[in-house]
Amino acid sequence: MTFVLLKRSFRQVTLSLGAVLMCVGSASATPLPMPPVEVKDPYYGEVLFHALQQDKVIALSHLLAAIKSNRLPANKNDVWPVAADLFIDYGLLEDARQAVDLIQGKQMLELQSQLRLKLAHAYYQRNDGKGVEESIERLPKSLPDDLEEQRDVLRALLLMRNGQLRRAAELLAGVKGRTEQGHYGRYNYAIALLKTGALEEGVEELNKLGRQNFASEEMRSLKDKANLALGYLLLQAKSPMEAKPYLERIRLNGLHSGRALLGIGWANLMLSMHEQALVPWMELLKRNPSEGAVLEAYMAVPYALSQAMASGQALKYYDTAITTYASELKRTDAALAAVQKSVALQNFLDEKQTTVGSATSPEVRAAIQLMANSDFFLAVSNYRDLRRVQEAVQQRLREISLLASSASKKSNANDQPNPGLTQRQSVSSEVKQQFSDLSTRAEKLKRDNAVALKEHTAYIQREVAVKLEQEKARLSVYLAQARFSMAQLYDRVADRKEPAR
Amino acid sequence: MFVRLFAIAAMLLSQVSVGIAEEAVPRSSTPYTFDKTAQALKKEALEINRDLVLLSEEALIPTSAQLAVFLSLQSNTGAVDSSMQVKLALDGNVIANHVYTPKEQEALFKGGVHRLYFGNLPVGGHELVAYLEGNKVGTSSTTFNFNKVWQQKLIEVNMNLADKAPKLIIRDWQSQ
Repeated sequence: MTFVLLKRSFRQVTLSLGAVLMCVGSASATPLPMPPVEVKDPYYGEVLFHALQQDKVIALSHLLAAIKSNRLPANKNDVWPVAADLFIDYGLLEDARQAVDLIQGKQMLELQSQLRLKLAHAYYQRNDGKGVEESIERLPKSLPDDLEEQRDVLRALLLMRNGQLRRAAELLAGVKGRTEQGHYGRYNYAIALLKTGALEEGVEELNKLGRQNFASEEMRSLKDKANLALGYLLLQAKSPMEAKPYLERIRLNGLHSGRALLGIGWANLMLSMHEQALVPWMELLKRNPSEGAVLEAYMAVPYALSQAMASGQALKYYDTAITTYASELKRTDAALAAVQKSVALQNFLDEKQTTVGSATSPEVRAAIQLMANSDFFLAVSNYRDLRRVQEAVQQRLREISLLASSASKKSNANDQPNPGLTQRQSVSSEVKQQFSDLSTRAEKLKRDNAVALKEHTAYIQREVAVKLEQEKARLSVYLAQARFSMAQLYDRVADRKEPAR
Repeated sequence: MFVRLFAIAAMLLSQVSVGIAEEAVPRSSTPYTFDKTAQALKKEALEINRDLVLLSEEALIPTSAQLAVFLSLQSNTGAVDSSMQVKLALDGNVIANHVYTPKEQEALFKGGVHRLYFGNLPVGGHELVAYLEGNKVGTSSTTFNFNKVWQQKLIEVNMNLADKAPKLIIRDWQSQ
């Protein structure tokens, strides 16, 4: 449950929602004041107990049980926001939509709107434009400013996805950046402007974002991205002097630092500052060669050295580049073979390695990079959920067996008078049949789920294999380029009888 | 300069991110088409869980014979005690003993309610004692005498950990 925060003082629970949209895999927890909800039914409190610990499945199971058995007479209107939030997080969007529709009362209107926006974003992540539009259409016309901003950003994203850039830019022009979603909106606005040819305005928007101070890591990363875009835009326009300040704004410990260092080096080289170009590139050579910018630096360093007439050193670095590319190519080849034989990726699928930094093999690195793709992200997310379903269903089958046996014994024992109870318990044949039916359903789920797991595994492996093939192709090109450049340099040295420095 | 910018913009924008989903991300070689299947399986798993929860309660113990004891915390002001343990004794027999993890305590502080015990209970008079123990919360206990009739009994053990000496209250949930 990513954003329902519950604040309580003696059974007074305040549901408060933070901003949730736009950022895949993260949600801001800015609390908003919401109407207090009193925990009147213990079973409602039990659902909250599990939901607040992020135990979505247990919370939802208890919630569904409580709803089906009418155990929530006093909190019946309070359960739907919790249900909707849990359903969205668990990826059951149709159930979430129904739960959001069931939220009633004026005091719940803002909460309902936030959930509709969260749902719309979940649909957006699934490329379900119709779902996004339907969720947005059900929002009240008048919304608080921050929610209005989120709605505009979502609408604009949808327009951009459909190629309606001008309309998206018009919509985003009014976004002030009150929320994180708003800042993403401003970024998207700049991109829409650039794509529609309004270059000056687009650059100005990016520049504003690139100068702003942010507290959160996510927003700082967006700021870096804006500066990176500006820096490279100016580099491509052969304006290295103008590009450098933007690239130098980018943090050295952020996600975009590699590209920034590479760009600074190119800017210096374009300004004929060969030695200064080497400084950021040599820094890149200290990093893991799996990073794209680092691989490029392996070529850039000897190129700059050769331009500075330091041919001996350049040859040495070309040699290093060739060794590195060949080694990476070999590792990628082995990784591809392992993926194709289905003997890899388990650490990634088991969530033991989830960041590029923690990736020890090319296939895991490729998988982590692919997580930025919404289809792949959803496939992995569902795979992990289905793995948990498979473990749970095994456990349920054991429980059903034990409970059916216990119920049967109790039934036999109850044929004798029981002094402890005033009425005789009996387990009817109907109950036995219910256990049997439940067992049949669980067995079927186990079979169907196993098939779905295989399909998901095959999809994930196929995507990773394609990515690794692309990596191989890229490395092969680098390797060929490095060999060619080295040969050219040898020729140059031989022709000029240039002394090796 | 803007003429040149225009010339390279299209090429550059294929590398520069376009926001959240359109960021310069690797594209899928094939679309993912199993989401509906996954949703159906996850929903069926939830419904099996739900039915098992209900069946296990109702089939084994008739509602009228049920006793459920819930634990709640009174305020959000207490400190988390990683050794906090709550024990329940019914008519002199220990029926539940739970060590609360910091995560569970946080959930209780925020309004969650933990079902500490669920079982059957004969009609008549009974004594329930709740014991609290922990490095920070210290040791305390309270006793609740009640009469069970032929209907479901829901009891709340409520604790206030805000003060140095924690306060424990046991009461019928229905009466609140």
